[in-house]
Amino acid sequence: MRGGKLIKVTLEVEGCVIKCARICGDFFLYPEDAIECIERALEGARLDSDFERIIAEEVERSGAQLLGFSVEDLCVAVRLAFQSRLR
Amino acid sequence: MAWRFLDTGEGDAYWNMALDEAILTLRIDGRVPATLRVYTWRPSAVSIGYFQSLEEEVDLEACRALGVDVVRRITGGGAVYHECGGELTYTFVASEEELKARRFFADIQGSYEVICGALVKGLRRLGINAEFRPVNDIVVNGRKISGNAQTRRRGVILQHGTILLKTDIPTMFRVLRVSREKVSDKAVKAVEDRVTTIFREVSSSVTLDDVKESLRKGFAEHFGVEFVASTPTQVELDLASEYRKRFSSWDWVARR
Repeated sequence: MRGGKLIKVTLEVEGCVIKCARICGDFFLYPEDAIECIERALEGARLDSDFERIIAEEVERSGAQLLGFSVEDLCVAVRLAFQSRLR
Repeated sequence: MAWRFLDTGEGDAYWNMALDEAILTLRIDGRVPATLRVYTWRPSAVSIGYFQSLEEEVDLEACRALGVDVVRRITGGGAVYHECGGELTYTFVASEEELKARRFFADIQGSYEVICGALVKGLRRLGINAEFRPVNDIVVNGRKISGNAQTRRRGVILQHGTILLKTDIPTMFRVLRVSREKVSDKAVKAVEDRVTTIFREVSSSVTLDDVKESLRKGFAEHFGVEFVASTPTQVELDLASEYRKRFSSWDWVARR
């Protein structure tokens, strides 16, 4: 990531739908438990879903602040993880 | 009002993290003043960031074999190998309000810069040409000497971090999975090029007490406040004992 941090997204996918999402890495997010909200918000999303909107809305809803990465970075990581599951 | 300086000496990983959180809780409640704590780790330990995957970051078998504890922090950031006798860890807890009254910052990145500024002043007292490097590092001539991480709750900031005195790179490679290139000379050299220590920058004659005192003075100068040497309160110790159970539980350590 541009902030020098690592994000790793692991997805459980059934059909084309995310069943479970796990976001790991050495980034900073405040408050920390917002990560679980973001993970939950991704459940039920499909490959063609607007991840950026889903994540941005959840970030705003939980009042989360990101450091060392951006919503866009996280979207890229989710998309890559999704594509690797479908391969 | 004077702020507090706590030298809590050696502790195990779970106690160290528990006492940090106890200070944070009690600062939120207004029951303790802003605090700078310094401490070391016995036995050596790995701490991983709140968001990190235990399995991906730590070689648990190697840790067991070497008697190295593993703990998950309440702060984000990366995995750190805390070598017993090889580093000093500090924790600084203060409300945003009292910090901003002394050194203004506009955002989270700014708060790292302000608090790390105090560390930089401390290190400069030892003759080290330290500077802050965003997001959360302190470097000397581009080499990292200190990594830092924050959590924030109800208007109070806890920032903790390590200051390297020396490094045991082979052990670090064994317990952390950060580099899979084995313990090659090249890999060791790569870390040596990116990381530095107090012993390397000044001399191995610098003592832990020298570093602690420099930090205390650096923080005092930076924030214009006296840091009065103290000990944890009984309430803090009791709360830390309670928190320690969570930090040492497998549920917490392996939650990601």
